[in-house]
Amino acid sequence: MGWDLFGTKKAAKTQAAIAGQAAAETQAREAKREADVGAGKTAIDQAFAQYNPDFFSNYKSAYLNNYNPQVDRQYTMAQDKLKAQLAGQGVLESGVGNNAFADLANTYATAKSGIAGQANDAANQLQSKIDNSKTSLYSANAAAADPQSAAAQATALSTSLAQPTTYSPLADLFSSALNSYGAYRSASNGNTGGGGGAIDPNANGPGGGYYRPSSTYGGSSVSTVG
Amino acid sequence: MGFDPLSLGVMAAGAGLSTIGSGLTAGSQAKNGARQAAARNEVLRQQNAKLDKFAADNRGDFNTTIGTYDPNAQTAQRGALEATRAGDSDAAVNAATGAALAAPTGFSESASPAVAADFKSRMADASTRALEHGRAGAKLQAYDDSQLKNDLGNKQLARNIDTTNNYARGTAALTAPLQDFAQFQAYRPPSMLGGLVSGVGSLLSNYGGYSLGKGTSPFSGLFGGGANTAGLAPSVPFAKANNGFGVGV
Repeated sequence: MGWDLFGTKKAAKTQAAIAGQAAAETQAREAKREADVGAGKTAIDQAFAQYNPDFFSNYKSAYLNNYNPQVDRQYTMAQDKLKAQLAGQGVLESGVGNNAFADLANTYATAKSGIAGQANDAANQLQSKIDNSKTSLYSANAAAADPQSAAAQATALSTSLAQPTTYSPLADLFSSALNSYGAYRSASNGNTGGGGGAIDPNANGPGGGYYRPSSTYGGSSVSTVG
Repeated sequence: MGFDPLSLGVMAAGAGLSTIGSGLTAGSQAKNGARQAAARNEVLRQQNAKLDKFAADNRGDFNTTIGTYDPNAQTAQRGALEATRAGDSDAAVNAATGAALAAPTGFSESASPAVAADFKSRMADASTRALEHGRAGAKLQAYDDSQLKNDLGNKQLARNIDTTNNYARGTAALTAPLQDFAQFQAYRPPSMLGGLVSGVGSLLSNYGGYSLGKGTSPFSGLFGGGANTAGLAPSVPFAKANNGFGVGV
């Protein structure tokens, strides 16, 4: 029937219009919230895009540039000490000397290889820290649903993460190798056979420095220099 | 004994109209309820479709990540990471042994060529040992590197899923209010026709019963006719009973 005697139809139409408006506003607010979260996520991903393989490669280079010079300097000093020791015993240009230099070089190369591995480990640790920060920002973005705020936090945090950190200096890498050689020489002085008398490891004159190789250094084919 | 057929007819008509009116009202209410239910269900369908899409997005991200755990993919990933570490180690060792070879050892011009050759041979052995040591370490560390890469992928997956679930939670939270809004929009006030018909029916029923009880024709007053045209004597027990109990016995 078409009449609206008591205004019920009009009231129902008004209610329907209000309900429709409320539904539209509610859906619009949710759509905006979703868009804000999505924009914040994009801002975070863009801010963290700088932490790419080149970034970590530069970090590894910085790590190597920090520690390799220390290793190089220690090796140079150890080499000089070894030369002095060997020359003092008169075995500088000998198989004994060659063996000692080779062992020292092996220690040097192994140390450099180890530092290269540590650089990779440090880069991995840094990558994990950065990823944790990214997770924190994702959580903040979802909670705030404010893309501008999330972008500001992302920029601030990413900048602070880019600052290089300080690292402690290397320990002495070659002292054990040099001490081992020195201990060997001391022990060999009491065990020498042939050539007459104990060998003074600090002797510089000719005639000193002959020795028979022991199992410490292995090999029975070491040549000696007379 | 007889009853006024007109009164009975009026009563019957009234009862019929009441029934029809009730039916019209019930039908109107049922249609309104069905319309509102359909509106609520439509909102639920739309919201569920959105939630299904979010679930599909999550499943897609998950399948992409789980694909990286394919054994061949993991082996290739580990191999690439090992190659990176081994490359770094080889470069470091070669730089070190090159420097060691280049550093003056104090060989004099009088040193025998055999000693000089022995030196180079031992240095080469030292380099080889260092290279092998570095490469063995690279192979070992590649397992941890590969696990780190897997973990980083898992964390990114978790972040993506959490973001999508954030959308889903918002959608799910709005389902009930949107259903209510849809219900309000679908509501129509019930038709007055059923109520009118029922009302008329009730009036007729009551009037018919009253006439029957009074023993008068329902229309007697309308046309100025004599009383008691129904042929029912006042002394009829039924009428007396009616006096006590009203319409009908």
